[in-house]
Amino acid sequence: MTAHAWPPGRTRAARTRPGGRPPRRSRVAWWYTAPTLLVVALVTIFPIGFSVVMSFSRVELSSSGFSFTDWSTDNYAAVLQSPVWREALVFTVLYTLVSVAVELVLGVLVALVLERLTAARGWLMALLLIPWAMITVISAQLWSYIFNSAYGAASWLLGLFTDEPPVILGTPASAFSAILVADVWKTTPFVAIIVLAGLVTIDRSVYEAAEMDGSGPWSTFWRITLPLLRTTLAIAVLFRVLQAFGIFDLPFVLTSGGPGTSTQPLALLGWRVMFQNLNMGAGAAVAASTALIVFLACLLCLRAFRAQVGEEEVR
Amino acid sequence: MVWRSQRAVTVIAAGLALGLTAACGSGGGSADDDGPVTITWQAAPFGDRSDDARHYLVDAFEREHPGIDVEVVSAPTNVDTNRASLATQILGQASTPDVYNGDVSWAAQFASAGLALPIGDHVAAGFWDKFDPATVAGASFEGTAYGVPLTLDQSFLYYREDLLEKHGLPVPTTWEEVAEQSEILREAGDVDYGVAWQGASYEGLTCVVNEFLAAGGGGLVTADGSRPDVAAPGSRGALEFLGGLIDDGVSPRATTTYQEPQALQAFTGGQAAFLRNWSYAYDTANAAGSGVAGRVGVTAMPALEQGDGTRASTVGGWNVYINPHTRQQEAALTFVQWLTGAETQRLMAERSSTIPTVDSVRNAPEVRELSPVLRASADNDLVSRPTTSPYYTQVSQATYTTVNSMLSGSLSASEAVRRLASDIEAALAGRRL
Repeated sequence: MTAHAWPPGRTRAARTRPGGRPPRRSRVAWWYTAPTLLVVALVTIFPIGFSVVMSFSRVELSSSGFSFTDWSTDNYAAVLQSPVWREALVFTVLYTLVSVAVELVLGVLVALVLERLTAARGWLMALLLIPWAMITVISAQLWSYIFNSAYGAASWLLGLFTDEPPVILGTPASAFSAILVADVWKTTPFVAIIVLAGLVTIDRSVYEAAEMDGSGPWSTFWRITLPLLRTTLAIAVLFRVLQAFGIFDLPFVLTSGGPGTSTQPLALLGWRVMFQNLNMGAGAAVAASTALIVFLACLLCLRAFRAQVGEEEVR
Repeated sequence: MVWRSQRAVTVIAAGLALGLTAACGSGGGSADDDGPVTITWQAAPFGDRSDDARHYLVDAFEREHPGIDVEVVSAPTNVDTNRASLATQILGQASTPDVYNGDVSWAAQFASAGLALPIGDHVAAGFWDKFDPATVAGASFEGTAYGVPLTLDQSFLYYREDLLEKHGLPVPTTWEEVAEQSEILREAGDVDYGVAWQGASYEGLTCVVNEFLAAGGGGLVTADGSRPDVAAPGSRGALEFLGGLIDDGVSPRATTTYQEPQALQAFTGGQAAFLRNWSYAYDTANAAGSGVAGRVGVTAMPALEQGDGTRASTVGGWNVYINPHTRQQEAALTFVQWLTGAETQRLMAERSSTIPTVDSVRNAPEVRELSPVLRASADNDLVSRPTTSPYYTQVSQATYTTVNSMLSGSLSASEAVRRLASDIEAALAGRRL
């Protein structure tokens, strides 16, 4: 992974210039990666292109298949005007912000603990990765048992403090929190592993120097550890934003978008429009606009982290 | 610009556009072959699950028609996943499955999207006489039938015989009586709740709303299907009553997360005294493992006192459709007509407890006697969902999401009525996503 590719804190001269390899080696690299790139093009770029074309057309379905007519932006107009789409966008953005923030904080904490461990680190990491390795629809089904209002453990536990056991998946706020809990359980270990990889690359001598200068643990964390983790955090945030924005399986299993449409993410909406309503053009427009938004969000993330790194280098 | 895409391309693109992969079947053997032709029948399990109807039906058909082999392909049990899998295959011009079971509410949508063969053009006009005209109309689009009614499902009110007997209560015939009796049974401490039903944000809630509005004297849309009818006084009162069931504690607050299994479980677990569910619930509630086995009664759906006495029950069930790209159209038509013939319908009623779609079979005294569910069905007033619109799916989504919001307290009844009216109008005009 590129976490080590441009370690922060080193001087500009010590870093390899991008594209600085000799041209022949570069050509050989292209040959080696060509088959992979071809497969990626076939299964990723072509379908994306196809659905973009679809999103700009009037799609008519008949027994002889699709026909695309009238190159227009009507599908996008319909999507942008739809209150259902706006609700889905608000949910998806809110969910992405909250879940990524929570997972980042918890992930860093877990990574700091893991770094201190010596003996059982390997075992603990393996244990922590179990939620991450589980297929989400299956873990979501398990969570749905936990949140079930009749026999669920979570409902019972919360019911000890209230008159009546709460219906966790029955109100917008608690359903949101339930999905969040399931997601944090699953993906915090992933963030922790990435952050841990960044932590172990930090030169111990930096800490020793800080200690000699009388820096306490709190200020060492804020002034040394965290700044040196920036690029690692950028990678973690990037991965998480991409995944959180495309969330589908947790709401699909836990709430099917309810109550009402309050937990319906864009991906679930797109699937519904396309494969329940068979409204191919509008469904493609939902998918394409979602891809565009998440792409811009990632660029923004990278820009923000890179700007900070650059600033530090100047100092 | 018009261009027609090729099968493989469309399948890959439609499937991968949202990260799903679609499998695409291959065609069966050619009809010119000497051996028997093979057709595939994609169907989810239906009827009594302990004796798979799909397999005994295929065995019986193959005995009578040695020239045709039928291969069963198991479809997803989730009705929407089932639809998505069929749509991606058939839109991609796959020639299989040749025959498939589809929900009764899909007919207009599948017809307008070219996913079903217009069977009405391929069978004698007299073929349809044996079915209830309402079920044929429900399987038709613009005057042509695209599906053949295979099973007829409807909702019923299930009740605890032992509890009504204990308190000397009659079997209720109105929803108001259900609410009153629930109060008595709850106060006596016999149950936690009165009636369990399906209030989650999904198609099942549309079915409940549809029958409540009809019982109140209104409906989701007007009789001609052109405009929403939810603002009519009858519809509004019915929605308020429905919300009141939860507010008054007659139904659990968790109703907003209940689909069929959860509602059934609240009843079989003894928490609820009454249950609104489909015909399959009778056998399940009386099976081993149910906490109330042997104490379950079934009756027609209740009326609403504000209405005209309609004991409204939403029509559900399966139609059987033919893939328009099948290479075995003759064999497929033969199989479909056999499945929906009187003999087969009788066999299914006897072995799988399905409600026959053929009138003469359903109304035959000896079939009636097969089960209390079939006897109770005589008093149900069947109401269809507005499925003749190709935009029915959008109408239903508008319905269940709005009413689910109302039930969970995010919307008042009058706000819900307003939003329903505008959303259904937009849906009928094709303006809803």
